[in-house]
Amino acid sequence: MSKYKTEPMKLWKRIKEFKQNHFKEYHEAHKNGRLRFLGATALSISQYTGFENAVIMGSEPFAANIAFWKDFGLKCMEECERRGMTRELCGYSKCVWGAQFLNKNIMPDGTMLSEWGKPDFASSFSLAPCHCKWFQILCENSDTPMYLFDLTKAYPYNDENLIKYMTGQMLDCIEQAEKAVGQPFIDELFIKGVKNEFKSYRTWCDIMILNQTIPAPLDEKTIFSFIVPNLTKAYGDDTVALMQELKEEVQDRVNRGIAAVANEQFRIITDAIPPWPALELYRYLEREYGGVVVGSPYVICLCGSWKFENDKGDLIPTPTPVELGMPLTTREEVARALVWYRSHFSTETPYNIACGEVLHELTLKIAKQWHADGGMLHQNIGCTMQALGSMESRNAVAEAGIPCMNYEGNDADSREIDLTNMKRKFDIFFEANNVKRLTKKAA
Amino acid sequence: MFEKFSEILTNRHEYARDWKKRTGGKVVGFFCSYAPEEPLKAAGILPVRIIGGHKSSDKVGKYIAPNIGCSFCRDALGRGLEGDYDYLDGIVQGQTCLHTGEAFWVWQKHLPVKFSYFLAVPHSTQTIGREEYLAVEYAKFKTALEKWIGKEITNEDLDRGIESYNTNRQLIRQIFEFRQQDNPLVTGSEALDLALSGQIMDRDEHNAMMKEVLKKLPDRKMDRDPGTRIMIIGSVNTDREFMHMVEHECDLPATIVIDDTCTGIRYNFNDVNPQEDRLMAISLRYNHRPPCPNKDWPRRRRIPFIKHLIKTYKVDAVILFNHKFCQPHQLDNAVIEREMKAMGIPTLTLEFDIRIPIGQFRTRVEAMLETTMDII
Repeated sequence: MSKYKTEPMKLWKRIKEFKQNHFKEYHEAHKNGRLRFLGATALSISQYTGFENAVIMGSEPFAANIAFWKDFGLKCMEECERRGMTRELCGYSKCVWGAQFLNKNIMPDGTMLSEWGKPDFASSFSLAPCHCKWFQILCENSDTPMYLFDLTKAYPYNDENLIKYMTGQMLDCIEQAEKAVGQPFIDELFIKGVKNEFKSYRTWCDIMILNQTIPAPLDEKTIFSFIVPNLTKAYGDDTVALMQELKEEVQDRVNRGIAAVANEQFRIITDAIPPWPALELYRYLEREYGGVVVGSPYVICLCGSWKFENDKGDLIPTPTPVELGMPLTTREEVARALVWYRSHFSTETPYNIACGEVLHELTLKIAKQWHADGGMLHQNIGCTMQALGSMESRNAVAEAGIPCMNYEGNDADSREIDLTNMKRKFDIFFEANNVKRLTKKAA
Repeated sequence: MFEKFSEILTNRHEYARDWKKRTGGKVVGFFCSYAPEEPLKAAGILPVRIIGGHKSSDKVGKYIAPNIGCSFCRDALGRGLEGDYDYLDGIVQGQTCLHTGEAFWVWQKHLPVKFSYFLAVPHSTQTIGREEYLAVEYAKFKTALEKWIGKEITNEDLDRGIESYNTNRQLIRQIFEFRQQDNPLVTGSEALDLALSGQIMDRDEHNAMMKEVLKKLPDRKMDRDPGTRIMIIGSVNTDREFMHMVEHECDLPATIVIDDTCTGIRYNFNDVNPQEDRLMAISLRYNHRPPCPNKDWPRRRRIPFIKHLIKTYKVDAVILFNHKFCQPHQLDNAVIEREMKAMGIPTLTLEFDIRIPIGQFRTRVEAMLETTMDII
């Protein structure tokens, strides 16, 4: 007899289709007379909505999809290494460089493509320093015009000097993109796209807050599929509608006590990008121990914008510029508002950008607010930015009395994932914390 | 001729403690060469670069994972956790890589000092508005310093700081120029000790010592075969044992004639050009200095700089030294290797950890020297 009722998410299939269709739209853009923009999702890709024919792809979901299909991902890694890129370099970078070197790609449903998907314009942010080096190498090798943003710091240091600096870059980027693609930038479309992004991101925050409920209506592995609309198309009317539907469905599950994991008995937080080639480890936690991953700084902040209440208190959604009544009628005003909103805890800013100071506080807040019984933090060797602060996050959570462990893995390189060892570590962790195993251990 | 620089570098902590005793001043440690030292000097503070000791410490692993954190930062943090830097009154980080940033945060949290400041130096030194942005960040830094020391830092103070550092960099460059000769009058080991000792010393004292050297240097007679002329390319080189091995312990002769590192010419290549707005002048210097890989985008400014040095210093071969887990340099190295190959310059890549396998490195360096000397 299960502890809680559970049922599949009704939106599951539609969200999967959304992802497949968006990737299809991107790869078929040229055939349909449209432009391809590839951009790092930190601090938004919505600046390209001012181009009427734009199909915009987020580079991180683009890379994660390659990593998920581990056979192709491995070929990409090996191709990079053959060209002198070392094993320790960013996993996402090597996925996309590899796809470009091989001139191949893969769709979310596993269909192979005979072209990697060269964009007409590309951009990145110095979220991690290698985020811009990623695009420098990619664009040099593919002769793609690029704009690389310098995001020097973020919340709680996103002051006027930063907002002015970043806004100047965004306006410059728009002008450079206009020249590169030879098409006019339409401010009305840009304003509409950015306002939609505010709505999509704000709704995401509400959905994440609903997951503080016991039992959790969502588990992190499922949430990974739901991040795609906001990461790739937060500016779209269809995304705004989809996020609203998702919120309503999750609210309904909360109202009816529907759990993501029927035997939820141990709530877990993680911290970083998961090992995409080995997501089955999430199912292992659920099946064997009733362990449900309820959130992480990664998944909670990735598609939302957050801040500390009164700068020291709980983690709360950042009010959107629309909610705050900021002027949003000109390109400059909208760029400024977008920079302000997204330079809070949004996307992956907490991991770097002068926020290393507060990452452990953020992780601890999430552990407390999402009612975690424990933490399993991914020391993601494929992403230095995320892995570096992981130890201090573990220390902060553990010192607050919430048991916490690190496990080593890689977001993209399947060769660096030792699933057997990971499971063994999880077994020991659960045993040490007196969590009853729900299945009979195999001999 | 350079023994005194080496001696001070070896006994750097004693030097700093003694300086405090002599002057009654404050000492501030900085992690990366993008921390602006001029305002610190202007405030009467001794800026000291925090470097490792090439010693293991079991205290670091709790804070920075050994399977991802760069060896230099783990070593430097380890020295802090072991108490070597207990004389520091403050710490400053001029933002560059993730690793130095993390070492700074850990230091700030677990080795509390009276003053700590994270200076948000632009990641790129090519973006629109970066000079104005950095000048404003410097103004905030200056205000924080003034609050801490309890007095205003005037333009005259800043001028003194700028003058001292400009002189220092000019003198280092003058001495480095003697390495361009067919038989260089300064070895790589000596050059490293000279430049690195500057980063831990009062620059006025360092300047006085260099002026003495410059009086004698033109007449120096070198009793050694310069052999293959090597350039070192990498991040923060503090590995004196390695430098000595290359120049004095290999079976084949070699001299390290120049470097592209932040403990060498990269740090000392350009000066602050005085202007009315002192902080803008300093901002221009740090934005325009030869960049480290972290800050070298979208255009590549490092490659032309390296090529310029190769030509000027008549380099025969290059050693790319990479600290373990230093991803920024790894990201550039494949491109640099390709460029070197196109120029016909033999290149050897070595990965440095807190301690290095000196015997293995010697074998590999000698193998490279054999190829440059046409003896195989």
